[in-house]
Amino acid sequence: MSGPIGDDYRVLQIHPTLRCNLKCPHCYSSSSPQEAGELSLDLLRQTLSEASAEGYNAVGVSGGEPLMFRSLYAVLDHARSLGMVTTVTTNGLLLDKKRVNELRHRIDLIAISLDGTEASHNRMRGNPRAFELMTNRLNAIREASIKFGFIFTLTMHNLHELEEVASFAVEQGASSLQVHPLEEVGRAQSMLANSAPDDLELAYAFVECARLKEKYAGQLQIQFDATDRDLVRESPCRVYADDITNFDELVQLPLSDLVSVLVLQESGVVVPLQYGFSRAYAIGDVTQDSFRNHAARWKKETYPTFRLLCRNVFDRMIEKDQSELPFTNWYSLIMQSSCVPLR
Amino acid sequence: MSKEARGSEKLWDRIFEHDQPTQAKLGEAVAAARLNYKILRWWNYGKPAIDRVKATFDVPTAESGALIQDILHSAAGNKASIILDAFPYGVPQLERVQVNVTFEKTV
Repeated sequence: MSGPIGDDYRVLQIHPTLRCNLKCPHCYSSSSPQEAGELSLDLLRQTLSEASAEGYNAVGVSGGEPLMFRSLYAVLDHARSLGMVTTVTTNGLLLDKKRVNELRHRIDLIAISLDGTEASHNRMRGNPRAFELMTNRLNAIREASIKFGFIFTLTMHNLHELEEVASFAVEQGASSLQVHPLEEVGRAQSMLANSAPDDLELAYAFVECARLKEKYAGQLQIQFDATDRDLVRESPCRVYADDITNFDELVQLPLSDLVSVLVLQESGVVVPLQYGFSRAYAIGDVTQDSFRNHAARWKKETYPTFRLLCRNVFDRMIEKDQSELPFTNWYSLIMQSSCVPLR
Repeated sequence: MSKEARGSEKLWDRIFEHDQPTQAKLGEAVAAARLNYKILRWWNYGKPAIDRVKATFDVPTAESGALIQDILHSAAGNKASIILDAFPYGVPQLERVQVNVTFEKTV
């Protein structure tokens, strides 16, 4: 077992475009209606095939708004032909019957962003009708029997809305609710500075998630994306911080044995773990060379440095005193650290 | 830091039933919550956990028993429940078995 998401899924996230019908202040990729570029279908097909050969078995298409990406269905078809699990993350506004029918046999799960109560959601989405429009789309998804879940962005200020969100999710027939801490990257860095939940808020959020998990047991799967310090202390491999001496042998393994999630950004650059991760640790730019070649080079040249970065972050996470709060946001820690030269 | 109240401040009464929250009480609440809710993995943005996987295997009859044992073992290792159907076919002698498997995560 390695990495934060375990061994079941080795994930390639694709952000094929920054084009979006909304311009949310918390967007990690600064997507907007003004953005126009997108990755080509040929490039995506080739990258998917080579990622599959490296052991990646799940693909999540995000963006931007993936439903505005012209080659979405063809990309999903190709991923399916490779036997990959497919998901799409969307704001839900464009999920009309026609699109839902197109998605029906192409995806395993639709993830829909939901940022709180109706008023909060509309404010975060910058659209006074975003909640209403999204809710109106859910019936088509239910009729098509597509499994769907909601993603709630946890900030420093909205934990009290989580219960209403969970209740809404159950009423609407969602299978899962992912509670994800706000990442202060992209537009959120300037628009929502100091709004990411700190470790104290994450501790309260865990208690609330546990309470809601019990309340909605059997009806809703609640996923809390915080890192449990105890768990990491017990299993450093979950944050790629276990001791490794045999780098020469590891380079023979498929890339997915070494790192997951990978993120293919709209620029063509593939980075580990999270959108916006420092290019110093990038797998490579697939517009310049094939994913396969980049992967081979990364294993030999960059992987040891990546592991050193992970080890440094791990050491900082666990070296604090016993009064340290139980949860933290590892993705945020390692993102910040990736932008600082290693010592 | 923004002056807007923390979300947790706005729901303290739900967590602590009107007691004044303290670090010690938070520690107790986390410990209690951990008893039935442990975070086993965490996901990047936009990647909710998929808790159901379907697979179909087509194998010679002689190998089907070992395959089914492997699947059951794997399911136990992953703390997953399993729905398993086996459809034997072959005329006149049973030659192959199609095994349909659904894993469902229980954690």
